[in-house]
Amino acid sequence: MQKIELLAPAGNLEKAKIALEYGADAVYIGGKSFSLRARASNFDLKDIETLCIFAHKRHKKVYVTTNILPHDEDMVGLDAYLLGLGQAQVDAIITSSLTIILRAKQLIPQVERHISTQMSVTNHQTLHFYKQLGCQRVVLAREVSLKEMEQIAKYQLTELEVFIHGGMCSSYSGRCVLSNHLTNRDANRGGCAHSCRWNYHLLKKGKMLEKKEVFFNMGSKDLMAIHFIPQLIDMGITSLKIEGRMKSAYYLATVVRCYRMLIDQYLEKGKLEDRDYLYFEKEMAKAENRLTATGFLKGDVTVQEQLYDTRTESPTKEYVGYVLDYQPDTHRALIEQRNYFKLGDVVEFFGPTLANTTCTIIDIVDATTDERLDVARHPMQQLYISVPFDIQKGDMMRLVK
Amino acid sequence: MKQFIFEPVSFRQAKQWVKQKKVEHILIPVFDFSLSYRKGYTLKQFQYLINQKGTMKISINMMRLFHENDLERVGSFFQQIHIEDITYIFYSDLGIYQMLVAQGYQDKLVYDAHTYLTNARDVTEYANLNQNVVVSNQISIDELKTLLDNLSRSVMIHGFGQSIIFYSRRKLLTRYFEYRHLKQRTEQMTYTLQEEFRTEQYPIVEKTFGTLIYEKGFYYLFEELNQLSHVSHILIHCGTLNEKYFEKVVDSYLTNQLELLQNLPIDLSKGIMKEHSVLHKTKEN
Repeated sequence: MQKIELLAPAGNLEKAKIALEYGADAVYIGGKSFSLRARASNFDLKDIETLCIFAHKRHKKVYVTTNILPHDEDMVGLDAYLLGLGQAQVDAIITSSLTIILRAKQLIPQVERHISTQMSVTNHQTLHFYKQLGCQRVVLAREVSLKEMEQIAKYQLTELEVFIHGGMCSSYSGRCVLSNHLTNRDANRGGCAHSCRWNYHLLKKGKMLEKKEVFFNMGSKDLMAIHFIPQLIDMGITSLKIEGRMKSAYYLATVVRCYRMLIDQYLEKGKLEDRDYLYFEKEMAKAENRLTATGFLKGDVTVQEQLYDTRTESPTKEYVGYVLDYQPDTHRALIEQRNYFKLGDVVEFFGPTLANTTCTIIDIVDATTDERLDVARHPMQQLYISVPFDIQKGDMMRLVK
Repeated sequence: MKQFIFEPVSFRQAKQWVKQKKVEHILIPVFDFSLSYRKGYTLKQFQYLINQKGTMKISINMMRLFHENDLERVGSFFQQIHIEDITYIFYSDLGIYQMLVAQGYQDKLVYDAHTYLTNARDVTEYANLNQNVVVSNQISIDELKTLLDNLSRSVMIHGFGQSIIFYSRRKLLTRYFEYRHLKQRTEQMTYTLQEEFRTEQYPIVEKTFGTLIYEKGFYYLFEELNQLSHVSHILIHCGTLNEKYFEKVVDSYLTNQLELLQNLPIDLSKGIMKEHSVLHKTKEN
């Protein structure tokens, strides 16, 4: 069966390393220029180079987004930036601008050019266009259904990358300027205010259609495609992409690891049972705090895919600690605190190679003062706890509620 | 010499203009291929205008995105018409470019992707591939002036209209009415949206292919037009206006009388072009 790439987002170096350690084949990141997500903590060229070295040592890849719809002022420094990315040995840029595509082809031909979902590619004829421009991969619009993906894939024009998890724009990406008009923040240059998730009154001939407290919503639930991974692998998609450069390291670790296990299990066994999907759904719920649905994968969206209820769901498990070290002879783990936990709490450890394993907190010792504690209440505090099974640096600890 | 291209409100208005030879160049929507607020013309209506046009130029608006299953209908449309009769085909889906270039119609193509053409270099690159391009009106007037000054050829710009600020494949009105169990029509109906803490209203309309939201009022460039370099054509769109008001808009531009425009009881503004957008990336040093 064909190998498929699992592509994860990363807002900073730490998250990128975690995503790769937890099973991503490649990560996509934003640099300081030309990338959306203005508020994400982005990478400077030195960070990008460091990440490329880290990834390449593990035979993994790094893609850099240069996918704003640039204004003239944004174009200053383009060549130097592209040369910098080439020097850092990034594997691809993900881009929207025709100028950036052509300059990159000229200046850094060794770096692949992938077309961003900002271009909302929805048919194979458009793939022809990008193939002729020398682009190796197209990220399909999130509005393309599974059936349409299959039709497009049959032409085998370029590599195809599709979103499988995370936030969904309510509009075609790159075609929405709602945020620009409502807040003067440029949605296509990293300033999206998510105005599609706000509350609106719907009026007919100038009069409110419903009571003042009833709102019209047009936001979308997040995408979760675990049930469709086998089909996507079978139809020849090259890369499965997780959205969310603003998400936490814990979220990334959980989601990436879950899809890694799912993909590997399918590639190994050739099929997945209902109970497998149930397991993956439960795993995902340990970090996912937004409502999810299947987007356009099954065709036109229904009421189920829309976000009418603005309540938020909380994850079923809370991330409480990151493993810095473990001594197997003493069963002592050095943990960096991420959230409140206390003696008697039941916690679950998981990691890139560690299956979910639970134990009870029987001791907490401050690693700096050696003081015995009842509770761990300070973020980033380093603590010793006893763990009766082998864990390793990079594993994570979450609270079983 | 800048030329105007007018997008009539209806087939009836287009017919009148053809008969009266009122304008030199019109842009019309066909089927559900455009993002026009109004219904697209049928093949019969399109053929009628082509047969009656005389020296008038007729261009077509095919501004939406096309999914795999739409391509057959698009191909069939091109087979049923004489593309030579059309002056330009305005499009935003590069699949259309691919289909028509393969048939040798590069000289008919005008790339108009609303939000994409926001800098001189991209405008130039796309213009090199097409007969012409339309610069986005989602940039400030100062940016537009700079952009045009940096070109070495003439391009098209938007002069008047109501920008589409949101374009979705989702049938947002239908889904909402289902969710709320409301029996409401969506076809050919205009609703407006008002954010819960604001007063401005934004027209929202559902089409066969999804949902469009338009800006609250009408943007216009008038006095500025003479100061802009490298402009070959100025597009005057009808937006949600009725025929009577749009007739005045057209007269205003044809006779260069700004007051005709300003006397209309409509919300006129420079729209998003009045100020520079914020919160984009800071550059790496």
